[in-house]
Amino acid sequence: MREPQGAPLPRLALEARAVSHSYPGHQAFKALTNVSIALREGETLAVVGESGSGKSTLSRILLGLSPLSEGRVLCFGKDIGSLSRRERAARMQPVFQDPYSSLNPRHTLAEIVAAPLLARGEARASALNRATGLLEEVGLGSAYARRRPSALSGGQRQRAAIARALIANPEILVCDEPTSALDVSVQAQILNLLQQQRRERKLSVLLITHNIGVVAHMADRVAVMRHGEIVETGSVRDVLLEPREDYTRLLISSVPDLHGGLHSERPWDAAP
Amino acid sequence: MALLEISDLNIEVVTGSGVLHAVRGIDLAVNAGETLCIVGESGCGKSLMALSITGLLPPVARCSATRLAFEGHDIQHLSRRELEDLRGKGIGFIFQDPMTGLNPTMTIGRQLMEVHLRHVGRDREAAKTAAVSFLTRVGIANAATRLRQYPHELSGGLRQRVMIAMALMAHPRLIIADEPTTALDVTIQAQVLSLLKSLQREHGIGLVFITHDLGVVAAIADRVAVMYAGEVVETGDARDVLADPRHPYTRALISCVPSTTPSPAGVSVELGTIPGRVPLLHGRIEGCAFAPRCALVRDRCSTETVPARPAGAVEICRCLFAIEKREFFHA
Ligand SMILES: Nc1ncnc2c1ncn2[C@@H]1O[C@H](COP(=O)(O)OP(=O)(O)OP(=O)(O)O)[C@@H](O)[C@H]1O
Ligand SMILES: Nc1ncnc2c1ncn2[C@@H]1O[C@H](COP(=O)(O)OP(=O)(O)OP(=O)(O)O)[C@@H](O)[C@H]1O
Ligand code: SF4
Ligand SMILES: [Mg+2]
Ligand SMILES: [Mg+2]
Repeated sequence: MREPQGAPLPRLALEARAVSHSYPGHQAFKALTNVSIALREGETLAVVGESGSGKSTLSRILLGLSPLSEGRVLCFGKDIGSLSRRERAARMQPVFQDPYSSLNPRHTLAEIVAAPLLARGEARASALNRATGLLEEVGLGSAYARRRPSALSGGQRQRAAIARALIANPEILVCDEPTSALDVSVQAQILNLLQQQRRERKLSVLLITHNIGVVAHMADRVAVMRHGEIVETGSVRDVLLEPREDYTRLLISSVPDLHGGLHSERPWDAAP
Repeated sequence: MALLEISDLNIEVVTGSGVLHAVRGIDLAVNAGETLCIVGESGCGKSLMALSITGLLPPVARCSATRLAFEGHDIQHLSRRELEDLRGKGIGFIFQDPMTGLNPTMTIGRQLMEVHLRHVGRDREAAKTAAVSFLTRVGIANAATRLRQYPHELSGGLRQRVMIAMALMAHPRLIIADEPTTALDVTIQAQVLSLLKSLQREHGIGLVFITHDLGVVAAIADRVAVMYAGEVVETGDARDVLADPRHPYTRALISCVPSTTPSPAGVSVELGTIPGRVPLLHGRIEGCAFAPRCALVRDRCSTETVPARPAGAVEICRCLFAIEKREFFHA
């Protein structure tokens, strides 16, 4: 596609090759059809698209959490199926879309965030210590470390999930709507933290989001999904500034604009 | 008479480390046919406030208010039974976590039909038609097939839309929606918002809409309330507040919105943030709760009680210097 000519190709961190996925059921439902996508080392690749188009399904497949019906998934060139759970967890970490069901309700926040460290055998005291420090960085002071998820707001839970994903310094983050539960000031803080991690240590990020502003700010490239297929891929500037697909154009023009909404006529403002 | 009136609402939550004063003296009113958007820092008490209106607070929380009235009737001391009757047909509630409002063991078709059977009429065929029709109107294709699915078989955005359809099916007079479109792509979000607005206009529904998306506020709100640390710090006509916010927190919040235009290749910009953290709400806060993070803070801010008063075009602003601030900002 539209790529600069002659540049050396970076390593691929995570790759889906011709992946299809069907959910079993009374009517088998094909959620992904022949999807190929490649996350390059150190880049942020955004995935946007219609609600229900298969983005979360794709993220679970890339994480090796859903079985593959067809196609291959490679993590740094190795078949995802050939990696043990532990190896997978060392290389990549998820932030799931739903902060309500993705945190263990019986554990304290510090324990939840420290889980990846504890799982690889680090001493409890130092793991909990680092977890508390990282909670600070996502804006949850030490007072939150001993609370359980049920005592947190939606956005506070989401921040704990982000801290958990970052704590073990993974090479790849697969984030499904990581900031949609956050107010814009906390969102900015988290996005800056992610950018800092990218600069400091080549973190590769697959970022599923509905927020076009977040895409414009964070992503190097973007893939647009609809009905289980990728309809357009390209650099973030190409896709956002000169979209080729009608659907992409529709998507961009539907963004509710803070100032546009103020000045333009809103269709429902007209008297009936 | 406002459809919903709230005066001096306070919510306390009992936690392991003491009592948290999560909502501190909130006054709000919503008229029939009006949309009030609520925005504010994550954890500032928006969901607890919304839950308290219909008696859905978690057991560890307790609330008190000098007035909490729906259609002129105080609803603070309703029995559980009366509250259940009020929810649905009187006040439709859309939870921030869709799974709280959905039963995981029932198909969504059955759950949607039950709403119709309970609140609208006893005809099962009509209930099914209504379910299909509302799912279609919130942008769900093949609605008839979807009826047979269970909540866990739906994507995040489909679940949110089922919740919205469910609330609408009971034909409520007030809808309280807690971040109902966070999982929707912007095209479907636009469709859902315009459905809400058109139903609102047809039936005079009052709408309380909690969101972090200031673009959505600009698109749908008549009035907006900005919350910080359990208080409403600024209220007013949405256009006034967004175009000329008088409270430093509102101002700072708006400046954190990322632009939808990508910066040129190779240029990386740091997003503006609000330095510091929200205060912990155990015990009393002296002075202005925003003082430790406010760019315009002065000595008086951390000692004086900050009154809520009108400022410019804005109805209410809780800042000692709200009136002068305009020059400050534009300097
Ligand atoms: N366990 C399941 N069983 C059957 N169908 C499923 C299951 N999980 C997801 N689906 C279906 O697969 C499709 C894709 O779902 P997915 O969650 O991947 O979408 P998405 O792009 O993440 O959407 P959203 O933006 O709303 O989160 C949807 O139609 C959904 O209903
Ligand atoms: N069950 C609970 N036990 C203890 N504290 C709680 C409980 N529920 C909420 N809180 C605390 O009360 C405060 C307000 O929570 P609330 O859920 O109302 O926030 P919110 O404004 O809706 O935030 P968000 O935008 O992140 O959803 C938060 O600081 C939260 O940690
Ligand atoms: S009262 Fe003072 S600290 Fe508070 S918002 Fe106004 S200027 Fe800032
Ligand atoms: Mg999803
Ligand atoms: Mg909330």
